[in-house]
Amino acid sequence: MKLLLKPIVDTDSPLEGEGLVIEKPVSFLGDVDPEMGILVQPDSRMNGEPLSRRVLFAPEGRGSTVGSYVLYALKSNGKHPLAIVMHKAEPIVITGAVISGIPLLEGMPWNFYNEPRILSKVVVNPGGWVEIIE
Amino acid sequence: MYLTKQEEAALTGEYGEAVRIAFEVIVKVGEALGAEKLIPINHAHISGISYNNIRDPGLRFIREIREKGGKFKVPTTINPIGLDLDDPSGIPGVTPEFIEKQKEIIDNLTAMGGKPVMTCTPYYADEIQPGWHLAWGESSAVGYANTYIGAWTNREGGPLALMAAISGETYYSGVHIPENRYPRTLFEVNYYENDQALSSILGEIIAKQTRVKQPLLKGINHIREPEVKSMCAAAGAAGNIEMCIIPGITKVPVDKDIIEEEIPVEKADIIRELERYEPTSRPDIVFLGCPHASIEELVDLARIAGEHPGRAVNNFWVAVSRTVYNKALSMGVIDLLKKKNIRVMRDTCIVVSPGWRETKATVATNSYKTMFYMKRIHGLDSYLAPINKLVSLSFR
Repeated sequence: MKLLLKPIVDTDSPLEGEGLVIEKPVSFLGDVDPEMGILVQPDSRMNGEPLSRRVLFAPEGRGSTVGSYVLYALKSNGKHPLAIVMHKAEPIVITGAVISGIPLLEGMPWNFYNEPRILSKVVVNPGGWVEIIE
Repeated sequence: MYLTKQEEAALTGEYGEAVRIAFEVIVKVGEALGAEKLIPINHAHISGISYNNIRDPGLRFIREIREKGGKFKVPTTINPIGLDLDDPSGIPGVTPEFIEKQKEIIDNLTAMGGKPVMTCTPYYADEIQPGWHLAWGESSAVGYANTYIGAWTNREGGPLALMAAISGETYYSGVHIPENRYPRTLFEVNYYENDQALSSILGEIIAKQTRVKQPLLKGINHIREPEVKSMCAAAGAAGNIEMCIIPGITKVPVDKDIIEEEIPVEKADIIRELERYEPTSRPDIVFLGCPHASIEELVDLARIAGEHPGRAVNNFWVAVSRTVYNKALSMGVIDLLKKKNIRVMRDTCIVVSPGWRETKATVATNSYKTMFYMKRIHGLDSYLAPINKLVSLSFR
């Protein structure tokens, strides 16, 4: 699958890694451990999955406004996702992505997030082209 | 995005490096959200202040902005920190190193012009006028400002609020635009009683079901200020709601509504949630004041506690801002509560304070937000109940 999404924070060069798809909106404060770089969503099947070297797919952001700093801390700790792909990005995630330079794209259809799963290969290209191999 | 000559100059660094960074971040975020211009703000409130939440990377970020010449252009308040600066006792993870780092964060923010009142209720510390444009972090305060005060603010990430304090401007998008404040989801609330635990459950239900913003809430016209505050806090924690529209309270022309969906909220929906979270035995800690309690809430708590012959035999805490603490002290309310073994904490809240995970303590509260984050961030068993229930479980 190849899609053109809207790059909010674009990447300079292609990024490649596994994809981590979560079904619920993400609050980086609370849902992510910035030191271990893992997902903490106890009611999700993806609970405990690492974000590092993966493209994180989450439908949208929610919750605490401290989330921007958690993204920044993930980057500082070297535990950040390669990129974040959302249905719709909101100010907290955008701010976090801008100050930490983590590529952020939006425009992924809602139903993509119905099933939490690991994608075997994702390539995020400059300009918003995303290739996904399930 | 359209930028004035001054804004262009700021972006090129004419007013210094901190101002340049501030504008750069705001313009980037604004462009991502399709903003056509920037607008001046009257006030900023900065979240992301607790060392427990932002750790060394956040501290470094704030320090660097200050070192690059950051100065706040508008009145700016700051969120709660990880301890009560006058009495750090009782919080397990407060070490000398933690205090030092926490103080460094505060010192950097106050050096830039932040008001040293660490609270999630900036509206009790500074007078906020209806119609003001704000750049506020702290989701509960954002909900309160839009819903109750009639001021205008998006839910800003902590660093963006910091940048807006420096630039004195924010991007013109979201609920700064009148049309985006019109309701699009209608909730027919068929059961409501004034109680903060109950209104926070209502906030949770609204947040989890709102697909198109903003929610219009019918059937709760008799809601009071403390309950609006709790509801907005819950809605901000459980979802990404920046405002609710309550007829008679929220200044939005409801006749211009463009309702896309209607959702009933029944008594059973609310009772089910309340029962699900209810404590059945005495919790190790009762925590009230999320968001920070007002003077009226403290007086009310003193009255409820006074009606019980006993006193708390667990850690029974209520958090407030310094502004409210000083007022309560002069009114004798702090002493009244102390006699019931209720501790009034300043500057902090249990959610942003450190070291809880290892304690395995049980926590009960009248705030969905506290319950949610004590589970999520600290991994503690957390419960929700009205104050009189918490008193009867805790007093002997």
